[in-house]
Amino acid sequence: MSIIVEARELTKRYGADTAVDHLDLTLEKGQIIGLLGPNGSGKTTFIKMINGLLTPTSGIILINGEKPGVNSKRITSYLPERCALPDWMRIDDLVKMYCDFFTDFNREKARNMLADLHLDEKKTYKTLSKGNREKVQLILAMAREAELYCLDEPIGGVDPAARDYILRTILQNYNEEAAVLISTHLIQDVESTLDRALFLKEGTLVLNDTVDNIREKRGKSVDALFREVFAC
Amino acid sequence: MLGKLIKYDLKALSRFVLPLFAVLIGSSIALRICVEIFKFDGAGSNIIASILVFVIAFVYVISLLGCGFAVYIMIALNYHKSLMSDRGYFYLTLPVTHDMHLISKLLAGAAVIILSAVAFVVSFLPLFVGNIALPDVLKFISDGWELIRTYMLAKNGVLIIILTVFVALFGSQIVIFFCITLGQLMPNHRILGAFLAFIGHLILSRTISSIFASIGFKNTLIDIYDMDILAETLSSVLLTTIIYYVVIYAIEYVATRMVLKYKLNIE
Repeated sequence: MSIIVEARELTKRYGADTAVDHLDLTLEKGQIIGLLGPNGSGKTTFIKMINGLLTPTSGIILINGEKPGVNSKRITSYLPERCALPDWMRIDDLVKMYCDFFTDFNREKARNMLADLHLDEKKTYKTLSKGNREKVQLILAMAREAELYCLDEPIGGVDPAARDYILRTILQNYNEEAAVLISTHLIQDVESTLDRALFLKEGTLVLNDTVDNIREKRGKSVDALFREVFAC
Repeated sequence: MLGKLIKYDLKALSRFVLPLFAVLIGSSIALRICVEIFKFDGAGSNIIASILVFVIAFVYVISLLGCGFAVYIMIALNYHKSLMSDRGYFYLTLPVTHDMHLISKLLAGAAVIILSAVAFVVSFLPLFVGNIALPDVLKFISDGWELIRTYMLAKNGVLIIILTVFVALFGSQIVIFFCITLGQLMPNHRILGAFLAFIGHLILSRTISSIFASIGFKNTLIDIYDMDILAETLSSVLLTTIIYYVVIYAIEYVATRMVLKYKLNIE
């Protein structure tokens, strides 16, 4: 398996606060990786640095061997935790926009997923409920045949039935050529999907192990270990 | 990719400016129709006609003023929403450079400004058609231009005017983008930061440009009755001012790009 993301001594500070503290890790293609941690642990900051939305204070972040830029954005599909799409557009306009900007976007896949979730393409994005807006955003991100998917809280704002669909969609897109990085604190829901778990605590990596190892060597689920590590 | 960015920037801007232009031209036509129907001549016309004409004229004047200000407000809003708000999570992760984002917004904004100027001129036509003969209007414009060209500008005057318009068209937008981007560096007071940056830019640029404008004056005392010297002096002043503003706008463009690339944090 080849490395898709590499972080070396990666640090991000905001004044006196350190959001990410000397992070060293690699992510390999063909894995679904859970980026797990409580609020304020640095998950979103790390994902934003991967996507070129933040510049590291020090250290290096490489995507497919290159610094975040046009080439890395071409192969990375990003789902932010906020609703980021122009809300005045209709869903079919958004599909066309993705086709325009991303050569790896699969229009048929997107339309099928929209139909599965009973989302009318003629509807304007701003008339949708918050949950449906998040579903549309997720569908557009997952309809790309990217090499790296960065999903920041993909199931946080949707109902439990839709969560199952979303996780199934992620699994169906999973292939040996892609890595999927999921940031979430709904660990019970995603655990069965994950190959690897990264625990972030106050910007520091406290655990980097496969889910199988965690279960076999520690004799507990990822969720149980999370509650132990991050106990208040 | 640049073409696609421009397409979506134009779509975003046209949602607001096209209805504004429609109101402008529509109210101009409506005003002319009302005047013709009621044979409106002010004194002696009935009260309903007076009120109607007044309301339509008011709408027309407001849209005339709006065309000028609203276009720049829309350009500023489009820039802010695309790159500084939540939508930045989408636009700034597109596989394009920061230069492409800026150039796209500049070109789309320039197109809309030019369109607003055209709408402005076109809105006068319904008011004057039939009242003033078109050949008279064209002769008036031609005579005025001949006067400017012969007496006010040196031989490169036309080029200087074109350069001035070109620099102003893009420079005015660069200032807006620069101030909004600087405002983002004050996380808790972004709009105030942008406003303060704009005031600071105005004060600084006007002060320095006044100093530089004086460099363009070759003579301490100008004989304003000597048209050749006056034309030469005005051209010199304009050229110096253009060069000054080109340098300022280039610095602001580069600064905007650097902040976008290295310092921006959309929260």
